[in-house]
Amino acid sequence: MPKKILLVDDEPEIVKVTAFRLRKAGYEVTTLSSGQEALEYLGRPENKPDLILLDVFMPGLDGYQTCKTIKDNPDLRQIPVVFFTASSGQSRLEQQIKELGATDYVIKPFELEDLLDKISRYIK
Amino acid sequence: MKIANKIILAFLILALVSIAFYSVIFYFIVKYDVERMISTSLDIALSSRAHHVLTYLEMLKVSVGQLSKSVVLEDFLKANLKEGPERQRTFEIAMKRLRRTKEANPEILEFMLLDSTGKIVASTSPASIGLDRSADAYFVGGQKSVYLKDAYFSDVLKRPLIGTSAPIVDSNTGEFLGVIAARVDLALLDKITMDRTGLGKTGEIYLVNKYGYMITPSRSLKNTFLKQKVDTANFRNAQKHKAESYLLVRGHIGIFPDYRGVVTLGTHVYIPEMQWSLLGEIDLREAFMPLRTLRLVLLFVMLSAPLVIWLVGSYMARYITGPIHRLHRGTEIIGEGNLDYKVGIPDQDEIGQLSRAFDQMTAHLKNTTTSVDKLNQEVAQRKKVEQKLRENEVKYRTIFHASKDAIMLAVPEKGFIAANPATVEMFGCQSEEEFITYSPGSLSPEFQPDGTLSSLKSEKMMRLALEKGSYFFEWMHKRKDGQEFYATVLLAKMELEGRTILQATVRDITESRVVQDQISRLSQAVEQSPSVIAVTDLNGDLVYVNPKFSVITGYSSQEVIGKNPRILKSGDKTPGEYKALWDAIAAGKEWRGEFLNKKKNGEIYWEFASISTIRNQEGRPINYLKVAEDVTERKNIERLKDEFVNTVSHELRTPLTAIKESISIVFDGSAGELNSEQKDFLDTAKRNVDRLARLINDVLDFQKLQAGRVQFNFQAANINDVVKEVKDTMAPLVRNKGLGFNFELIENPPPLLMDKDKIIQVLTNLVNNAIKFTEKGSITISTSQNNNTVGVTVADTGPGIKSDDIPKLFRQFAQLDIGVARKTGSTGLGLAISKEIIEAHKGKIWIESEFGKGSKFCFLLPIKERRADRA
Repeated sequence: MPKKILLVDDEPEIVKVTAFRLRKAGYEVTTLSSGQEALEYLGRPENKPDLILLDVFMPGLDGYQTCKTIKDNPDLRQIPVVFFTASSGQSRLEQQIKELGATDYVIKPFELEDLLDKISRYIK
Repeated sequence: MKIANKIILAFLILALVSIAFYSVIFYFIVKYDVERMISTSLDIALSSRAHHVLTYLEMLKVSVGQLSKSVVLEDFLKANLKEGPERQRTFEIAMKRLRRTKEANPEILEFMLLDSTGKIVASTSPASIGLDRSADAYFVGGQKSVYLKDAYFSDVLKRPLIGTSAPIVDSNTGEFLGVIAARVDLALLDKITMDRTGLGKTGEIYLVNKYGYMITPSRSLKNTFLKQKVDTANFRNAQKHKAESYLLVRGHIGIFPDYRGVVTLGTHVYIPEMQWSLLGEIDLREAFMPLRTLRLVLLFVMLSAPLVIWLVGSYMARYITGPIHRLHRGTEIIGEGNLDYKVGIPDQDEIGQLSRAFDQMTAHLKNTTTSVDKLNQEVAQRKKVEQKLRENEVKYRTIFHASKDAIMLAVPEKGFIAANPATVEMFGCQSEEEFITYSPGSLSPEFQPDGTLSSLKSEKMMRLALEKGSYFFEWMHKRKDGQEFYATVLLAKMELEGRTILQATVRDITESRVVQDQISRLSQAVEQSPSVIAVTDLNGDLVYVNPKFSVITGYSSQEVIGKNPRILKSGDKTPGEYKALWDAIAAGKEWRGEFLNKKKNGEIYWEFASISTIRNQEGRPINYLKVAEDVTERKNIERLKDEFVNTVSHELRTPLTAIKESISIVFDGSAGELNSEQKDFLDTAKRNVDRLARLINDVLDFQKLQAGRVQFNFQAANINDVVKEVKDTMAPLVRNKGLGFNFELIENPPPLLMDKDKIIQVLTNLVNNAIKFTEKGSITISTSQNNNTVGVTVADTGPGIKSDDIPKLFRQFAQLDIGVARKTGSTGLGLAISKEIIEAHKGKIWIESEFGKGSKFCFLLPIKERRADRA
């Protein structure tokens, strides 16, 4: 049974290449383009990803807000959330991770090995 | 027992014994005299009465006897024998004679003339003529001679009487003719015995007849005549003289109870003719009254004697022992060593002499001991003074020498005579001897700071000190080398060996003046500072704010002093952040950070503040200090810049990511097999995309480092661990290039406070550079330890760097050789970033190189440096 990853990013190109990569690595990937979509998707009980890759800067609900909602939901709290951002605000990211209870972050442009490393570390 | 008591007791015994002895003797002498006197007087009284009685009886006998010789009565008795006128005539004459005699003797109550037959023939009481009295005692007793009839009570006359009678005989023939008898009143006898002369109050004399009945009245009893029986020892003694034939017999005096039973002193006289006893008695009480009084007096004397004796004895004892006491006290006082004491008893007796001898002796003793004592005392006194002087001198010398203040002694108008080491040092001299050669004037500049001439002013100061005893002032001095310094001077007047000298105590206050100047400079700086400066006490309440504070916040200093700075709080910080702030300050660290504050008018502003603890000299916190700047404007600009940089990086990175991943996907054949030419071009594209990504990252990193907005995570770490991690990641690259990779590490390096990831970044960068520029040889990483730094050196065997070029290397985009840069894909920012990181650790980074012989890139990290977090 392949592990499921939910990838949320408003940049279709990023989604395209990243999803391709993850699928190649053997994960089952669901891609969504906004925070609202992600929350709707996760609201359905049959959708239980093993890890969520969440872009920080998105129109509408940004990554932080989305993460907060996920972590406030007792059913979803256990799912590891890895931020995924092109931002250089590293210190802010680290602080947010702590406060929101997220698991880790990856800075774009990422090295493929880095990304796969982290994902495999958080998926049991 | 005390002498006084002994004297009193002896006195008492002696006096009492002698008083008792003499009293007894005296008593008996007096008693004897009194008794003799009383008995003599009683005797005399009794004798005299007895003679009176005898005389009385004689008189009776005489008067009756004379009558019996009367011719008239003889004639009548002769005539009476025959009737006739003769008888009548002689009767008349006889009667006349009887009446005449009776009238001459009033005590004679009746004369009776009895004839030879005992018949009354004539009588002064005519009624009795003719009565026959031949049986009567007158007649019987009176026939031969004068007869006295014992006292009897006459029933006819109703009174006690005594009768007497005498015979009448014929003068011629001697023929018995008759008897003349008289009844005599006893009143005369009573008168005699009742005469109290010489008998006192209780004495009495009375007559007792031969039968023991009283015939004269009793003094105390009535109606005793022939009724009161007297049967006393006195009477019985008198009766013993019955046989004697004297007229009177005097008895012995004795003590007897009388007829009443009362004890009396009594005696008697016996009258044999009548067989009467004349008893004289006096109550013993009265008789011995003088003796009783004497006894009482003696008793009183005996009783009161002890008191008088005691008083006298006490006085005597005091009189005698007083001087002895004084003498004794004197010996005690002198015995205690007071030879000046004089007993001084003026008496001329033995004790007085003893006292004078004693005083003389002590005087003599004193004369001999005083000289020795005086000498000893003087020696001890002198020793004490010398000791004191020595101690004082040592004390003064110690103070003088050890004092940090310059102390010098000077004789006014003469110059210095002494100076302590501090003085010598203060004025830059070699020795005290050198110092005292200088005149006071030469140790001051010409003018004092107030413009007066030093010489004039110093004279004034000395004058003031001499007048007031001491004077304190500030003075500009000049060292021997000409250097001037400001000092306080205490001039004190002293007397030393008769000379007036001045002691000057000089304290260099240059330093405190410097400090004062510094304080005023600093306070002016604080007042004028463009930064907000606020000081709170340990409770956090404001105690000082500078003017800039008021300008920025809108609060005047009066409004905020004593209040907590939280009035400025806008609520931007969480309690956790405040806690971190106070923890840092409490730990003695400086806290730096930003506050979003609220002005008095409600406007919000940013300030960048540094908060630290002000400590006193003992290191104890006394205040908190905040120095802050209004950074609102800068914050706004930075925010804009951050936003811009973020946007740019996001906008650049997003497409770059897509490009990079797309190329990778194609390149690794995931999207279908490529030929080698295609692969080569894609590889070029991929490397340049990577380089572009690195460049963007480096630019952003560097920009953030420079802005101080990179957060360092300082933790204790081992430098050898850092080297090891770099070795692990870099060893493949080094090997790929065919270079040697050597390590020279110190053992047990001290732990350092560092951001390990950042130091790894620096070292990786240095090793990267070495790999890039070294074509053959080796790369060596070595660590070293100095006093308080740990050093890391990356040495290569590359081409080396010209010394002129070395400073350029740490600049941004410093590429010495554009060709190399292109070839190695270097961004030109690595060393600049490394420099920023090392400097953020308070370390140092530098290059040592000899052109053509390789380079050494070195950095040092401090061992003990602790750093406050930076925002």
